[in-house]
Amino acid sequence: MSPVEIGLWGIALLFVLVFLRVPIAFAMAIVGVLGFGWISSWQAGLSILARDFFGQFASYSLSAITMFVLMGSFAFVAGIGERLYEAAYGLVGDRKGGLGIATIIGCAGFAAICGSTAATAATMGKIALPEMRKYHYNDTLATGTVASGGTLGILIPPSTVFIVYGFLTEQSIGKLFIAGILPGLVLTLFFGLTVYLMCRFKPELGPPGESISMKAKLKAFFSAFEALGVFVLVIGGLFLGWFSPVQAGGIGAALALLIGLFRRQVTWENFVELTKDGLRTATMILAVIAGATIFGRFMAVSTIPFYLAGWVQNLPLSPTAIVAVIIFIFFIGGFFIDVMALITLLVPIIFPIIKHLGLDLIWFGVIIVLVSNMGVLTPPVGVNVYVVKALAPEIPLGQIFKGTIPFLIAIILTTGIVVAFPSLSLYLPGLLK
Amino acid sequence: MRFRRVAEGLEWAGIAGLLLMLLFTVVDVVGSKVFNKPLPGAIEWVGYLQIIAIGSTVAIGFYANRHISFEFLVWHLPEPVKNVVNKFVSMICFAFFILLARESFIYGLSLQKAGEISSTAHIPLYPFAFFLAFAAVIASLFFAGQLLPAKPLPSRERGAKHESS
Repeated sequence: MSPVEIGLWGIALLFVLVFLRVPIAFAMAIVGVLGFGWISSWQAGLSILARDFFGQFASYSLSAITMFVLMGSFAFVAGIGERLYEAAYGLVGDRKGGLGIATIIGCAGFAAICGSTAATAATMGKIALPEMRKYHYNDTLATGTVASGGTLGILIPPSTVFIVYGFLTEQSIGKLFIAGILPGLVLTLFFGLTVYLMCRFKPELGPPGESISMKAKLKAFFSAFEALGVFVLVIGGLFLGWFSPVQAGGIGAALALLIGLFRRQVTWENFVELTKDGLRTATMILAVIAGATIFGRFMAVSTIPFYLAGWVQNLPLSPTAIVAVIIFIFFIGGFFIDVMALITLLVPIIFPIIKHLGLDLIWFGVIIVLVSNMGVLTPPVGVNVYVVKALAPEIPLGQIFKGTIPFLIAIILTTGIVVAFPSLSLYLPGLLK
Repeated sequence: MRFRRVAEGLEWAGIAGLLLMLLFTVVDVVGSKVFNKPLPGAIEWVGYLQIIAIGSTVAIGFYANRHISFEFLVWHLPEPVKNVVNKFVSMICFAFFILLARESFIYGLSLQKAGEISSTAHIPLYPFAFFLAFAAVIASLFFAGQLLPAKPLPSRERGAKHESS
């Protein structure tokens, strides 16, 4: 059997194991060891198992994931999300649809100190959902806003997905982070516009919230400055080359913890609970990366990615059309597979194609994150929708999925803009040293 | 769930590892940026402590259902088929973690024999490989628990269950 045939059998076996509910990280490792062993030697296959798990778990560059996840957890403990929401409420809360727009602004703010979609949706959902329901917001709009706003967590830096993508494609994590800022702001604007337009045409969907005094507005606004401070230090430090991504995440986590201690919001119980939660999330991501590394070695010796790259290059299609096809594959995959797993599965196969076509891998990274944003909202595995469902169990799942549809259109629109105007994502990284 | 307490106990080692990672990173940054004295070997310590942090949490991740898996298809299977599939998957995963433990142990032995240490802080590497092997054994216990026949309830509980049904 040729290496390519073994590779194809391996991919089929991977799908069988995944569909049988073997955790994706370990399914990739199992198939990787078997396939690599078959093509090279069984001894070699077995030795990469321990070496790759050891190597990835001990990887300093991957510590950035652990640190940024911890930063998000500590930011939650510190109540930063709450103060961000209050500041955004002060800005627009007393207008039609204002609470929804405030939720989006709050999500964008929290995304600037947290790199996960689920954590952003959970944090903002806990604060914003009760408020929106208090003012008789339509449930579909309220839950859709929270689930969708959470997706900003991986586009606005820091972002765990950017770190994983950067690791898989050997791109600068600092540049990827910076590349996400402008598209993140555009998406925030489109999300805000979505809420505004929906409430403009159907005012009963989002009645205005209670008006607050100018003094209270200013107080709320200034209390959110700590989040801005953390963002400026962490991302600014990365931008100016003061910190490595790991150091930036570490400093961000320590600052968030200090803010929580200073504000007396950290208790032993919530500290332990959130540290455990962050650690479990980081473990899940690093296990997927370790499994993907082993699977990637198998794919490399099977030569499938190189055949695929050559085949795609010879297709009578323009590079933009090929990117559109790849986006479509990710979009469809996002319906069924968790985005982190999808990225670790597909990026090692697809990025040689992008490289072959001479396209920018930083730009492509932003597109991948935008498509991942769709994946966390689409059924049946839209993680953010389940997060919101956990916060509002009485609202049917279908209603929450329905609520995300207008926001999905906003994400598709932003993706189109980033594809059509690469400078939107490449301008800021171009300023980096 | 069987062996959950073992995994929970190990998770505390993970928390300690994680907080030490954070401490080393912060001390390194403050030392280098403020006092112009970076912490020697900080990069190596952070990396190896991550093995403790992550390795210790793999097992509890199974109990807490935190590892990504594709549930959609198996959900729709009839209960008896689902049970067979679960046993089959548990067997595969158990074998995988035992293999990972064995290979990590062999890898640790080879590191020990070669006297491998990190380049700056001169940290011996083999204990971390042995730790990974240990963590893999603890993770395998989750699947062993799934393969073992269900624990009989204590007689008093059994009586209560009988009455309620």
